[in-house]
Amino acid sequence: MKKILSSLIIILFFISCEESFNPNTEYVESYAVNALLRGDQNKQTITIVKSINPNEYQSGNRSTQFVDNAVIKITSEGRIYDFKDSVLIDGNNQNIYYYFVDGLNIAEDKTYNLEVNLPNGKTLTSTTYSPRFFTFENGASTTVADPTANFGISVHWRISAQNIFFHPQFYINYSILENGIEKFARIEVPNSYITKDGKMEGKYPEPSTLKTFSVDYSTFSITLQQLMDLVGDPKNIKIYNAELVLKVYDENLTKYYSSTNLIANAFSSRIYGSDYSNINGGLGVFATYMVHKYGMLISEDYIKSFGYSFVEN
Amino acid sequence: MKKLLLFLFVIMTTSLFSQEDGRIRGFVRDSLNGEALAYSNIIIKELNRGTTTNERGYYYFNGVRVNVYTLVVSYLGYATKEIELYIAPNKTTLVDVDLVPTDVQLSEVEKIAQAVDLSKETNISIDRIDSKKLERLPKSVETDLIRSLQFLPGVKSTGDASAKYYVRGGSGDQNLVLMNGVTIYNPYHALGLFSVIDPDMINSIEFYKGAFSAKYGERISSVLNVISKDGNTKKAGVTASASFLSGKVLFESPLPNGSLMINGRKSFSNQILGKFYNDSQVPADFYDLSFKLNYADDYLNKNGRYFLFGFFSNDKLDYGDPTQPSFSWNTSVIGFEWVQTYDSPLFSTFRINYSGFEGKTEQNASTLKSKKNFVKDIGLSGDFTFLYDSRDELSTGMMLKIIKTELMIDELAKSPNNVNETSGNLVGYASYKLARFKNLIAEAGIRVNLVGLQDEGHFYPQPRISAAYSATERLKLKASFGMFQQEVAAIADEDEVISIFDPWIILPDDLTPTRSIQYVGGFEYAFNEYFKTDIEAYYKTINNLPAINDQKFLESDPNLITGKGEAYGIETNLNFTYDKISFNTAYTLSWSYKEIKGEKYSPRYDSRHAVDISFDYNLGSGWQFSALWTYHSGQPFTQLVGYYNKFYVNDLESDWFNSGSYLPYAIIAGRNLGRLPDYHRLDLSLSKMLELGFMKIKIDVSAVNVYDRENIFYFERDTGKKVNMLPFLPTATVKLML
Repeated sequence: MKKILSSLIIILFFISCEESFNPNTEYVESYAVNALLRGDQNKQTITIVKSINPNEYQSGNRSTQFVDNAVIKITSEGRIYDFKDSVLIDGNNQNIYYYFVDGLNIAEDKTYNLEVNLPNGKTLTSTTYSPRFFTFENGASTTVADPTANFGISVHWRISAQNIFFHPQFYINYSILENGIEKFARIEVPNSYITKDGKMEGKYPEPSTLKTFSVDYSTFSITLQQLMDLVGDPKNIKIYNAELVLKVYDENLTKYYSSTNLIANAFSSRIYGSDYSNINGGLGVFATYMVHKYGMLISEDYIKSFGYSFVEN
Repeated sequence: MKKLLLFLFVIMTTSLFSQEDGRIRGFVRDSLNGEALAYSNIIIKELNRGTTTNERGYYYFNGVRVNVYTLVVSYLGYATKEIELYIAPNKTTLVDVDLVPTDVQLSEVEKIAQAVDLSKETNISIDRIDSKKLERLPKSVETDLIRSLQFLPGVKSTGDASAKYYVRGGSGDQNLVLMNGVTIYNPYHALGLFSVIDPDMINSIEFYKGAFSAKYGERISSVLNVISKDGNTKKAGVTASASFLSGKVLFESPLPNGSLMINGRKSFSNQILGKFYNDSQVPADFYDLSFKLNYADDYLNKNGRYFLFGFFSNDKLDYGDPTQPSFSWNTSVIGFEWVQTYDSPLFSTFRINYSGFEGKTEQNASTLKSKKNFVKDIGLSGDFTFLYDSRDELSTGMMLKIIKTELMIDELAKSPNNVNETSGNLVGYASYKLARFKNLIAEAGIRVNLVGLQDEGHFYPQPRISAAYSATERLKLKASFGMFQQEVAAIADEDEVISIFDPWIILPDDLTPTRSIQYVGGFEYAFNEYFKTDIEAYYKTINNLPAINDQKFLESDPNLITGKGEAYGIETNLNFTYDKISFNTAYTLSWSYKEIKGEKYSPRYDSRHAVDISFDYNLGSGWQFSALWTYHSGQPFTQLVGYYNKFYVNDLESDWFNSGSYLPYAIIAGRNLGRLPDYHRLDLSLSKMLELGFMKIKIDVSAVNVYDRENIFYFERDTGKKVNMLPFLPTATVKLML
């Protein structure tokens, strides 16, 4: 009986041991192109990153592998834009290799073609279409925090494209006098505030398909109050105006953004996520986005009620 | 065609016995509490003819020649009873039988097995678990009905952290769970760790792994039919018990012309839940409450019995932190049932019921999107069983349902996506069981959606055929074929290791209902009275299998797409039961596949080999020991090819490439092409029943994963680190019975 028990214990000890297990399969080198062309400027930038061997990655080598010495060109309506390479050093002292071109204006409703020749001889290609004609609608707010109406702002817009994302960001433009020098700045107004640990925290708008943006009176007031808490004496602050900055994503950027925002919950651990790429032969995204601005006035009496100086536009 | 109709007519109207024959009918009940003993065996000894009681404990013999007979009534865990009776011509003899539990009458030898199955059942793909056996199984914290199913051949799980079960390659939402005949949409507590159905309230369980008869529908893979206790008809009593997780109370009492059962359970600690999730914080809180009231008054209605029952469960997961999401789930079932037996060989059941489910995810100030799902299901049904003198049976019935489902998801930032559907379902079925021949039992039936929940769900015929042939006294061959349809689905993301929001919806009309064709064949062989084996092979196909569109990036992209599935395998069960020892070995060899958008893969629950070995030993003097060893070969997972630092859009300023984030992202190989290491663990349980005057105390000590096997749950993509399932975990339960 003792022998049987001893044998059983030894067997159980061995079968309980951890087995060697490798979740990785054979490594295949891949490249991701990040090419986001911005509509309100003619300087455009691109980065390329290389994949990392999973064994190296899991042992701690996680730095972004930026790729230099690639040859990149964008063509649109018969014109060719060749990119130059450059490097900057980020806050972590890491070299960010990037590619840029000057003079590439992004127009509405146009086709852009990308060709990337990698140092290893491999070619990656892609095509994207800029967003269509856009306009803010009549009837949108022109004045913020009108005390007679007791509401904040409400802005709507119109575009013929469906499905694409809009990212509205609403700012108060102000200046602050420091040592006799007027410094210009802006503060973003959130959609709403929540209280966490006794403090108010803003919830800011995220990209979505909604073609409207609104902020209520109290949220706007809290932001102005927080500005005072931030900079001190309100007499040193001049409020100029408010501005809605609206970024309009094209379809490829919309899809890419969606794929990076399928956020799992605390108990969720997806085996693999949904990736999106429109780069032929690689990963990443080639897309455009337009930037539209909508200025609004702020009621003078309202600004002065906080003790701020009012600047008439 | 005319010949076929004539044949059917002759079959259904022929009586092989003379009109001078008599009949026997009655109920089999527990002598101590009056609870019906479902599926007990009744044999007319002299004729070697048998039947089983139905889920209400009711039995009926037709066409019994006039004579004196011995009726032998047996049930696992009860002393077998023999009753002599005289069958008079053209009369129905009423024989109600009360069986005495063997733990009370220990001196008698328990007759627990028969070499030959004499019942009128084909017994294909069906398992019956009695509540006593359920109690004896080792506990992962506490006894759990659905976790116990996972030890049956053909039933798979994805690990210790979920009680969700998968039957013969089918998805989790293809399993129908019925409580007294009413659908329960979410049968899980605590993120899917435990079943909402408290074992203490269960009278009987019937579990069909496929090929079920025409009476059942709505789902395509399995049916779990749970009948709750009626309540003690002999004396009032209270049973209270506590485990490391929850406390519960069962109250039973006789009433004039009936009885009452009320059962409640409430969690009081979530410390132990963290063990299932790698020592994470799991602030879960749950309760469930059920009741059943039954009434029978021969002055009001002879041989009629009425039941009013309800079941309510609630789960919450709340961190008490506004930056964290909170979750809640509610299930409500209420029903009224009228069961009628007649002097004629007819048995009927009428039911009206409501079943509701609501699942909610509150975003609060977190990044998780708010979600809400509710189901409201109102049903009206009538079932009739008619027994011919020839021993054949005709079952028929109708069911009318109105179902409303609504799913609201705040999709990618602020645009709510509502899937809202209200639809009606009118179903009719008929099934004819040919039981007149000594060695052959065959059942042919058809189920038809006269009105489907979906546009394409109307008039889809679902034929069901099964047959069992006793080739020798020890060998029974069996086979079945069936077509099945399902028009609702729980939209679970199968790529989540733990999915805690599985919303139920009526499938949209642009999708065809999910349909399955199944074939089963096998045999039972009794080596002797105590030693039996049961082997079944199955093959099934699934078409129009709904799946989440994981390439939905635009609002206009469909939420759901369809694919197909295929599963096949062989299941063996070897059972040895003698005196106080029971030994059972189950082995399953199976393959299952899904094909979505042209990519064929094995779902996560597809382990090729599964072995479950259980051993129960009644040590006497109230001691009971049980052991269970479970082995599954490695489950599929998706391997990593590499990583890259993916660009995440934060704020697309001019220097977006510098201001955005480059975060790790895994590049993956083909879906589920890899296999995790094998899973195995040993659980032990020892219990002791003490009698202290007016009170009984049952103390149960269990140890889960005795040899602390490091079974892998999943690996973290970022680090490749293994996350393991349950470690060695000792638990205890104390139960007081007054």
